[in-house]
Amino acid sequence: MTEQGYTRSQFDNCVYFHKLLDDSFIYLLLYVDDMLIASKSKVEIDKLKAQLRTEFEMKELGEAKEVIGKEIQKDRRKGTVCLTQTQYLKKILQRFGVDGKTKPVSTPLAPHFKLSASISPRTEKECKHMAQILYINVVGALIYTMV
Amino acid sequence: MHDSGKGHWQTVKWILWYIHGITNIGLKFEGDDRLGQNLVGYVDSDYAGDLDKRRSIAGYMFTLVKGPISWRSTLQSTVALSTTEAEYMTVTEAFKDAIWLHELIEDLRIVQKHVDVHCDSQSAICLIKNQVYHSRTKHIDVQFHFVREIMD
Repeated sequence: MTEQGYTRSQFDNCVYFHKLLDDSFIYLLLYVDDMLIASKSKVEIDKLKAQLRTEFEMKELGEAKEVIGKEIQKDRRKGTVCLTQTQYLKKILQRFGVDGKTKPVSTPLAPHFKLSASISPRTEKECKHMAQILYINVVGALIYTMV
Repeated sequence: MHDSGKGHWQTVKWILWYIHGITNIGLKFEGDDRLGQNLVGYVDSDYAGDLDKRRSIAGYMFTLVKGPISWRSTLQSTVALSTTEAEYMTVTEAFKDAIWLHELIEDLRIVQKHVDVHCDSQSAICLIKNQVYHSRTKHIDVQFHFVREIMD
């Protein structure tokens, strides 16, 4: 990319940018096999896409609807962009048996939860019971959602 | 993560039930002509929030164009002796991130002179501004005084 006049950001290696004649910028974001192009100029975007096509085989998905598992909703009139993870969240809820019948709670946590090592299982029966539960899988899925 | 008990599982279930009601909620970014002034940080800490080792929890978030872009909530690696100290260490962590984010957006040619970081502890703010030097803060390691240097 640097041969095409693009500069790689020193602080985030996934970002490349190039200054256009009208002082605006075109940005190219790469993340493994996901790619996003952002610019005010449609002509420049098409030019960059043509350039990339000569070097790699790539699939054109049009306006960005999703990036690394997050959905993108744009409202051009209001000038807003929303990122959601609805699909991923629905998938993990389904996987761990939370369905339409479950009543949602309105707070992320309640004060009566006091977590410490002292509430770890003590008896063998308790240990056996906990071993059947996918605790680590759930926590892992939640941490993935978080970052 | 290991040795989880019934209480831990109850908590995780509660979180799942909460998420169940909020799957449609997401991050919203609003375009603004005054783009430059918009990288803002918010800091808070939970003093001795970890019941096992009494370490504090550090949390901070940065917003750009009215939406959050970088956030972290983590157990501090050292034990803080006061809320001020917990907050002070959190500010340090946030500043480190702020420097990186500031440089990143500058690289992307979003011009911003400085980054505002908000903190709800007056005593931590005073400590950063070097208005008090209390004997209780003496043991805070030199690395945390790096915050003062940035303020200057």
